[in-house]
Amino acid sequence: MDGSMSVLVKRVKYIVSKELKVPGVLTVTETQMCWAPHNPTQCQPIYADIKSIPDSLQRAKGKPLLKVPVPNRALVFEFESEVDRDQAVDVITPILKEAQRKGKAPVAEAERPPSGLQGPQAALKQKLLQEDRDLQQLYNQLVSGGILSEAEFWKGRQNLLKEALRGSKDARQQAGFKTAMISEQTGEGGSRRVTLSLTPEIVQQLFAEKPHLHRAYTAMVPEKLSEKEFWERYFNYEVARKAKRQGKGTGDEPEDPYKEFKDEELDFREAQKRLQFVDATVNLAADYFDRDARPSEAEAPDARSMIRDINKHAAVVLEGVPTPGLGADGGPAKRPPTSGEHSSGRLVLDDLRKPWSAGFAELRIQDPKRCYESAADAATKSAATGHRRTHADALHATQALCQAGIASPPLSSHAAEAALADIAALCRGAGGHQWDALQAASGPAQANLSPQMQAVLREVCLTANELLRHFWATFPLSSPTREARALRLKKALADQYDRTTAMQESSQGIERVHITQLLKPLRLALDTALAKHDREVDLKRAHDRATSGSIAIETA
Amino acid sequence: MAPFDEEDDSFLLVVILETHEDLWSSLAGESQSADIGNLSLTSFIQQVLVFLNTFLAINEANKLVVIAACGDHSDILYTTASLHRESQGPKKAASSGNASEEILRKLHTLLQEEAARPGGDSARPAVLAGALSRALCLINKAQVGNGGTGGGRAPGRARLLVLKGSPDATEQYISVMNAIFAAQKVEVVIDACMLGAHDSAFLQQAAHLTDGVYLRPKHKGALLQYLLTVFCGDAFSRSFLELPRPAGVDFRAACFCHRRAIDLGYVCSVCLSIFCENVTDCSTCGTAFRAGRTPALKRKAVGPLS
Repeated sequence: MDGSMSVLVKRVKYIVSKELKVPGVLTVTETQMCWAPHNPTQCQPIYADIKSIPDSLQRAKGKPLLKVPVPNRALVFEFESEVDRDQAVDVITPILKEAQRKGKAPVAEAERPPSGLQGPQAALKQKLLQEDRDLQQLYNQLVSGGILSEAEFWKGRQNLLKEALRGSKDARQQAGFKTAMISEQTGEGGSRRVTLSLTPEIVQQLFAEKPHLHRAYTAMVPEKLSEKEFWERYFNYEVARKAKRQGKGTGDEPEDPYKEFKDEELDFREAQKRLQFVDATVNLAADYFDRDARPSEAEAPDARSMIRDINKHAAVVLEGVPTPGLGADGGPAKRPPTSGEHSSGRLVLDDLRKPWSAGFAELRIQDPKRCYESAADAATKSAATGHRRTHADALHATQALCQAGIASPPLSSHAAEAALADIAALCRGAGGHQWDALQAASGPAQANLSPQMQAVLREVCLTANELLRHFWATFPLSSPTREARALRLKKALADQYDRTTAMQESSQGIERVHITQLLKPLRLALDTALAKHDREVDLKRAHDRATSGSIAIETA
Repeated sequence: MAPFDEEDDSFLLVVILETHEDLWSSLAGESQSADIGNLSLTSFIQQVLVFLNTFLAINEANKLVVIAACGDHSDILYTTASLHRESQGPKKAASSGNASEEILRKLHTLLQEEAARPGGDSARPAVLAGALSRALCLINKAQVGNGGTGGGRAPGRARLLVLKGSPDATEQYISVMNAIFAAQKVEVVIDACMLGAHDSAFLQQAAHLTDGVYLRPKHKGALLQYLLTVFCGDAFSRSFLELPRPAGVDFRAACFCHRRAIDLGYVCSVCLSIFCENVTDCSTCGTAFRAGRTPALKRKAVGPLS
């Protein structure tokens, strides 16, 4: 929740379903609407951006109910009385109207689709959210709650989107390059003035077809030539060359401005390398290209270069480009790709292959205690296996004992005390009535919990796992942005941690044992993540101190 | 539980002491600090001896057998004199003197023999199954002998304590489980104290099936305290005591075909043998599984075999 003043605080029940009403508190500030349950184990708190709520709140007749439409769903709250409800509506509506008015002012806000989803696949995302309740819940909690950004949330779900795209009605075959050769397209008109519009895809295609162009680009732009000059020089040459081929041109064969970057041998080697990964029986283009790539004496140099151009073009068209919608924004921007993007652009058309199915192994933790203690074990084991002892060592020990006799006392009282405390903890921890209850309750822990509790546990686990995934992705903390994101996620994780603690503490008896057992792996994961962050931050601080220290010495 | 003779509360304890290099290696060196987490070899033997003496001192009628489980054989280190008399006649009874002296002497001789062997016994796991069977035979003999002389000794008066440090040898799975089931049948409680770095699935199952106590001490240096607190009371007294209970038991089984520890496998519908892969016929009972019909072997989670 942000720092702005709350304008409304009301005790309301959030209606999850017909049977389930969770009592809690509704707080409205100028920017956010927040509902938090009294009992954190019953439900996750809900956050909604005021700007995302339309100012049409629906009141139920004869019942103290209020329906608040938020992105992707509607929240239904039950007030204590109708008067109460109407008072609240009177307070909230002006805020909503104000927010709507303000929200319209910046263009970016106005362009946002009503669902709050952005990007070229908003409809697809909307559909996914509607179909998957868990996903919807996660989305509402993390994205609407402001913990993750829209892009971050969908970044890890590209495969889901692809799958949906494949399955949906408007499934299109992935777009490859246009087969028309670019040099042909650009020369139209015949006049001296040729207008070009370069899209990133065209640039990518040109680079793929003419590696020497790419080498020239990386070497010359922006140090020697501006981007515009670079392409002007190149297309002047192309237009002249085309004119010459058609017999219209005058004078000598035009000179390739980037001739010095041509390297037949290198191109040939690259083609060979690529050939290793392509089925030669299928990829005729690569095959022909490679045969023709080496300068042969029999053909005229002009025809040879033409054959090579066509083959190279065919090879690039076959290799394809990624669908613009999934990565780049697809707009006609004159933004040439960097070398990294170029290499990633060399994707084989996905829909010609079997879909990649992720081979995930199911995580089965039958004994959480073992999982819990394994980390501690590893530490002690490494200390113990320093030296392997043999029977000879044991013999020495018995000999020493034969001579010296048994020491008195055989055990220090300090050690005995520690052992007794340990045994007491063992008896108390899993023993007593709880153990008996565990024994009596047959079946797995899940079977002994109420469906409501299970749903909450599931939700907690899903949320925490999603957060953990994003959290680990922020390492290493190499930039301030990453650090900030890690810190933000760490806070969210700490909240989840407190929530699990609260759940454990508020539950009773056998349920508590089961909840503790089910949450153990999760808590372990959270512990590890939080410890990792602390360690990483400490390391960075020490490193910063060291570098600043060395600078100080240099200046001194 | 069988009815007890109110007057006589003595019982028989059989201790299986692993004398294997794995156990020695899991203990701390002599030079290491005498921290509560570290147990040196000398203090290990010392503390075990103190425990055995204590047991004998609790009740003068208590009987004790100590069996050493080595790399390829088991050896009896000590037997209470009265057991000798009952089983082997009076001529051997004279040999018993101070228990710890005798155990130490025998252990010394045994270790001399073992140390003289070339190669050490890292390749030979300790014969847990053999030692268990031997212990059960001894218990049975003692009980039958007693019953024969009119003592009316009922089952439930004998107890087994295993002190182990080496990891489980899955190739012994079948024989160990058979020994455990035998103990369960004759109502012999198996207690286990694991000194290695990891829990032992065999011993956990043994304790679980025979209603014993499984313990892996956190502070190994204070082993004696654990032994005295947890393993000194007899099976009857335990009904009044609150003893440590594990949060979970590792029920993993070893397959009969490759002796691999598995938690999901195929089970023969006739004899309940466990296999890690689909087989055409059961190697134990010879049942042929026909492929065309509903599969006779169903992949299911291997649970406790009881």
